[in-house]
Amino acid sequence: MNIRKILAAVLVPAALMIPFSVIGTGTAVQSPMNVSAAYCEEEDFPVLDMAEAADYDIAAEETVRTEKEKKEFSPARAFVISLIISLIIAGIAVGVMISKLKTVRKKHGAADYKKEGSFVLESSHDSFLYKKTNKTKRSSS
Amino acid sequence: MSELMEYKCPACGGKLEFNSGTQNMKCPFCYSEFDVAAVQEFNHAVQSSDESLMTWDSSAGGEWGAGETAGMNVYHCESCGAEIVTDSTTAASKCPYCDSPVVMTGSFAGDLKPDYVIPFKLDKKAATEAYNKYLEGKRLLPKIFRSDNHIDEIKGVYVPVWLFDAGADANIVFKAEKENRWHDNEYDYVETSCYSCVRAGKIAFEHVPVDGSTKMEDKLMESIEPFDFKDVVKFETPYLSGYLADRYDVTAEESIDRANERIRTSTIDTFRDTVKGYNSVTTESADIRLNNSKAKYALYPVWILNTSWNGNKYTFAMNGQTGRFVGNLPTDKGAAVRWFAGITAVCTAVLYGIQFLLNR
Repeated sequence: MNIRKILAAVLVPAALMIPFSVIGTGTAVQSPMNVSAAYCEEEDFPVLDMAEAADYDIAAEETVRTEKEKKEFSPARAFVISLIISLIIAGIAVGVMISKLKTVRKKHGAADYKKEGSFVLESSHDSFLYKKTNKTKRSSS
Repeated sequence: MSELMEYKCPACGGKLEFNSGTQNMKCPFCYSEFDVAAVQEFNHAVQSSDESLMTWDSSAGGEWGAGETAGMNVYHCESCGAEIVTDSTTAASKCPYCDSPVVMTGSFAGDLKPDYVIPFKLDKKAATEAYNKYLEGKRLLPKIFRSDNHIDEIKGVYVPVWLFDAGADANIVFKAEKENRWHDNEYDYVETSCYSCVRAGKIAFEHVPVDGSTKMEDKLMESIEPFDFKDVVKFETPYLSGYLADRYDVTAEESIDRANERIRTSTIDTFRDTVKGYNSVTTESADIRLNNSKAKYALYPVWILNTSWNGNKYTFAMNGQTGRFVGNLPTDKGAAVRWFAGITAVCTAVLYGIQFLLNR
């Protein structure tokens, strides 16, 4: 009886896991080439008219331009940006270190001495006073 | 019979005028226009909360019983003027505040008897350990300060404090702003809606301490707060045995302003926390009236450590009840510059490298 129970406890979960492990293995061995080949077999490529082809050309040109811009790396600009950010980080870090040396400070209020449960809000009223709108011209990109 | 009514502009505080064309109140200074009812409500709320009433019953302390002060001596510091009280079993040789020699001037007399005392819970060893631990991990502390520095004397001092208890009825007007941002092709827009938020209610404070000694720096004493009132006991002279006690030289009446300032600040903060859903909140006016306000006189336990380095005096203090340790330390300026330069160099290299890799 006990042996049956043990076998059931081991084999049932193992059996339930089999389909998942098979799918997992299958996915792992399938190469990208096989996938694209299968896609090519299943799907037909759409036939484009001239206008659609022109749109594709423009899109392709834009992609090339973006990549060109990406490749135009300016060392001086990158260094200045890095330096400015680093100066700010260093200033904050050293400021924190200095503040650890100075612990004598005036207390802001008496929050530590509030009587527990003594705060009662008896009235709360918000009323609209006025509205103002500021507009600033956007910088042209 | 005529009465000239004046209304304050909620935006700039200028005197408003009625605009017959729009039937609104208009400010001739900032050109804002307001609904009449909103202006009336705002001005009424502000006027009714313009003045606070913060008065105290400051009859703190009691009379000494017959023979209670018989064995107590008073020492005077010629350097800073401190007056130290000890019992007959404790001798004082140096001032706990300035480390100068003190001289016994006679037997203790006069003054008020403290109402309460919080006895020392931590000993001198704990204070020394706290000091050594305090120096750890301070990267900008001069190394020579750490190695050369020896605290010669650590003194346990009962510092006189006035304790203020009060209930507060508050009526506070806040000005709150909500922002809405959007844009079109040409402009960025920021629309700010302004609201008057009136809050009224009650709050109470217990045992707000104010330093009663001019020799003990107020900031130093406040920095080691809070003291927990649960350990307080009725004052008895045996608690002074082995410790020094400072005589108060700031009266309860003279301490009221600081107590009011602290209570007022925390009352406004508490009510401000109920103003929600806005981008910014500022206090327009606050009427805070105290009730059942009374002051008591107590002695609080403080370990004081003094040291000199490079011609400067450094004083540290530890809460003798909770162990909270504070004190300002010197800064190694050379180390600060080195750390600044080092962090800048490393960060610059890392950030430059990241940008280079991203643009490859």
